[in-house]
Amino acid sequence: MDTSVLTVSQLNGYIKDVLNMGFPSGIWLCGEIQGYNRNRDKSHVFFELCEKDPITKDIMARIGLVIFSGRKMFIEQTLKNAENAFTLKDDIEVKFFCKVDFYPPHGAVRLIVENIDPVYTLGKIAQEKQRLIALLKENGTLDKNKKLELPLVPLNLGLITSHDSAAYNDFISELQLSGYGFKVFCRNTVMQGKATPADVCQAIFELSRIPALDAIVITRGGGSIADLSCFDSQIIAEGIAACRLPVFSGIGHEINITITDLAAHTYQKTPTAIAQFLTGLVKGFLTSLEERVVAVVDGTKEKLKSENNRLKNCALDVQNGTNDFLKQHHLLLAARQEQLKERPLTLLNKALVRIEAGRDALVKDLRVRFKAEDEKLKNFNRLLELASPLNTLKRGFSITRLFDGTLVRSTKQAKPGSKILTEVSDGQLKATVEGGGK
Amino acid sequence: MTEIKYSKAIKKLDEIISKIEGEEIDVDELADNVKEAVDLLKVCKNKIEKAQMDVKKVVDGFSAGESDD
Repeated sequence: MDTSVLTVSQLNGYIKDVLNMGFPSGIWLCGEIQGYNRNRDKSHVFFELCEKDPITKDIMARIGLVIFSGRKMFIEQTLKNAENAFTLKDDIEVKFFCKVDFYPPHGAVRLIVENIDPVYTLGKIAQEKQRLIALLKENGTLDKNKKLELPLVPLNLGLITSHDSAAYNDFISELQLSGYGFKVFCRNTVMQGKATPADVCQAIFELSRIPALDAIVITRGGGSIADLSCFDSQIIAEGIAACRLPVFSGIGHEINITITDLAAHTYQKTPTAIAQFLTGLVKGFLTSLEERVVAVVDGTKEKLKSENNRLKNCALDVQNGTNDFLKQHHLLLAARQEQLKERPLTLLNKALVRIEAGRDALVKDLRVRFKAEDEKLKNFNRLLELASPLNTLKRGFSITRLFDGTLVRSTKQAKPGSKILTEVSDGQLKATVEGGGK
Repeated sequence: MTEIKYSKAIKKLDEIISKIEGEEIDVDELADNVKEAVDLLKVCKNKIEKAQMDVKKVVDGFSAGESDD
């Protein structure tokens, strides 16, 4: 090497030669993109790749890269072929195939991008996502919102989306289609790029302070994996976990499930699907309400019917019981009636019998007495007969009376010449006294 | 006739019957007592029949009322 003084261009020329010798063919380089966004309207894209300390996140090394306009189309096509998974932008990990070059006018080493390996970035994104998921799962962040009770009728909704976006319109029109009285309070939110997580978190916080809301919905339309990767955010997940309201999410389209989705109470694939989920909840509630009303009405009817039957049976029992009771009384009365029918007659008969018996006794008694009296009388008669003057007359005695009836017991009573009547057994003799005895 | 309670009527009836059942009743009173007892019997019978009808009416009324709803 010539030891004399070099010009800057000579030095830079040497450095370039050395570098070119050191890196005869291209290299694969990986790192995180920085400063990409300033290139928006330029034909060549200048940016940097850097390597950060895994713990402190401080930049340990950086180097400038350029994608020349002629190569830009090829790189973009390569990305497109990888299912449009991501676009080049700041903060994503990429793997480029590049030539190490030295640009003498700037005196700077630069890498000229020749090709890109999208699989690397996808892998990095996926890897980062899995790491986060594992972490959030372990500390319970993903389960916290799921433990909140699902509102029965989530009609008052806080909506986190970009106002008037396709997602907003899909969501709102699906709610309107249901005809239910949804009220949506939309918080216009950044749904793409670096600012997304912080804004979504702020929106969750703001909406959760509105007392009337039943739930919060986070929704946006589909996009590349890189577009949606802002929802693979730890702070969104933590914001959801801290939220007092159930958070529902519908982010992206068919295949994307973001960490936001995983942290949400319930997620659906699209804005329309999450709206359908909500209308389904309301519909389910109304259906169950109707079923319950029907069950209550049926149950009541059944109860009334059985109670009615019971009452009817009670009424019948009352009737039968009363009838039995009254029948018994009827029998009682019938028995008394019999007694009344029989007894007085019996009584009267008895009285009659008693009277007849008395009469008979009397008659008998009298007869005996009469007989005795008769006997007595007969005896008297006999005696009388014995003592009778007629009998004396028959035996020859006679009774003499004066005409005035005076018995003549002494001669002194009949003076001569006086007329007397002498009674003999078969008649009277009239006589005149001719003389006295003495 | 003034309304007499059934239980009172039955009691009176029983008194008369037991009087008649006994021997001490005077023949002069017998006819009057029997007449009174028969009257009481009629009263009691009427009461029972009326009660039966009333109960039937009430129970039927209840059953009919139930079929209204």
